[in-house]
Amino acid sequence: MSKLPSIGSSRIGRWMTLANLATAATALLVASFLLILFQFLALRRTLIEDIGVQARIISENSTAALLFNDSQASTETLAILDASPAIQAAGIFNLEGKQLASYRRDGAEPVQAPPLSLVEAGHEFRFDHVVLARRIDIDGRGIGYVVLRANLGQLYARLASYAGLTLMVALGSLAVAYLLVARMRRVVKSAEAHLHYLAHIDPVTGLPNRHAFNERRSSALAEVNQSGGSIGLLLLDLDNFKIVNDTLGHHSGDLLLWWRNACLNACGAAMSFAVSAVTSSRSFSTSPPEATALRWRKKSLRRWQRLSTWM
Amino acid sequence: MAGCLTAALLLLPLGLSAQPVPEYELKAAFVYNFALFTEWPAELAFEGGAMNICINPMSALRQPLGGLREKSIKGKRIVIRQVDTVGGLRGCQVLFLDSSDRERWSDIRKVLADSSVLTITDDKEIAHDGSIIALSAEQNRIVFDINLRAARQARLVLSSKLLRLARTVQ
Repeated sequence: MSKLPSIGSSRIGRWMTLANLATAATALLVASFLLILFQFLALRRTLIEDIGVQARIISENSTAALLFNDSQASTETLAILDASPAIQAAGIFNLEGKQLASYRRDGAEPVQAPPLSLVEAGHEFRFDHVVLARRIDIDGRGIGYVVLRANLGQLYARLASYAGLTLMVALGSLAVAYLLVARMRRVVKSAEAHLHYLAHIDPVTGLPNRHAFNERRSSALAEVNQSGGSIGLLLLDLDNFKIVNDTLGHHSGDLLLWWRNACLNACGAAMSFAVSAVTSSRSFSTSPPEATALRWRKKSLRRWQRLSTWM
Repeated sequence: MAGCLTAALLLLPLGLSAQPVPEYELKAAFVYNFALFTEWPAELAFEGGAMNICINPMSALRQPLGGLREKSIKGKRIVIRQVDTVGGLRGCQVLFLDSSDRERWSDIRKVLADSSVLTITDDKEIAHDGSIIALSAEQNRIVFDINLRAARQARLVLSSKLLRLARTVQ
């Protein structure tokens, strides 16, 4: 199995993390935007419903005053709007558009007689205010109109609070998700490294096993085929290894294998072995592709003589 | 309602606007509006689905009231009845009285004692003697006073919207 260089792997991992983070952030932003938009529409609908209720109350209470053309009573009816901070101006008009009474908060601009299009639509939404017109009926026939204008300052203030809360929750969620993903990624990476170790390392000797040897051999051969050069293979076979196991016990046999491969590793380090692998009592080593066959052969023989003497 | 409430002062100017509304046409409109804000007993049968507004044939309001024939009140078409006998008043739901009815008012009261008839007058003497609604002119405006006791005796319920606009409610 060819393995990516650790620096490249780390960089790709970091980019993947950032890409995941950016994707999650984008999704959260889109979701937040949609939530804020939905909230805006809901607040707007609620505001219009509230104003509609007030318009209905006004119209129900101003029928008599309108019929008897009582401006003072109509003005008193409109005065209750003082309790509704969103209402900036209001007016009661007869069917001819003549104003019977008006209400203005803090010198706000008065409302005008409603055009037919506004009466039919019910309300008109602008950037900073909404105007609502309602026909005043009695006994099933229209006798006038009530017009209310409310500014949207409170609506926008509520929307800003909601937007702030939504974005805070989104950012908090993003941070928590990032921490969880990063932690999970570390755990997965550690598990992968452990699995890789179990799959490629002989547990007795601590050397790469036959599977790792096969991979390294394939990789080395492929590299030689592509770039030229040569590689060497060193095969060590311990004679009568079974006697060691049978007479001194398996533990001593394992210890012997461990010492042999420790020495082999030391030799490998001195001779620039790329990999040593062990299969039972046999050990393999491959030379680096750049090593010349003659020099490597000489060094191998010399080291092997020392090893044989020691053993 | 306790005592006498002084409510909003009415109403349409009689002669100040550019095109003043004739007094009797204005009073006819008032009669119609009073009927709009009055509730008759539920058990009262409106014969033929008609709201009978009765008036003396000699009354100056006869002609303007004729303009209400095309209208209806609470689903009941308006019928203007010119009644010259006291006995003919039993089928009325609204009765307008003026000075020409002053002499027979006491008889009318006796006949209508158990009837739910909204009595409206612009005559001061009749107004002082038990009519339900009294019209009068004040500073070029028409205002009205309501006798709530008389309305209760006639088992009529006048809307609080109307009471609020009355000059006085007794």
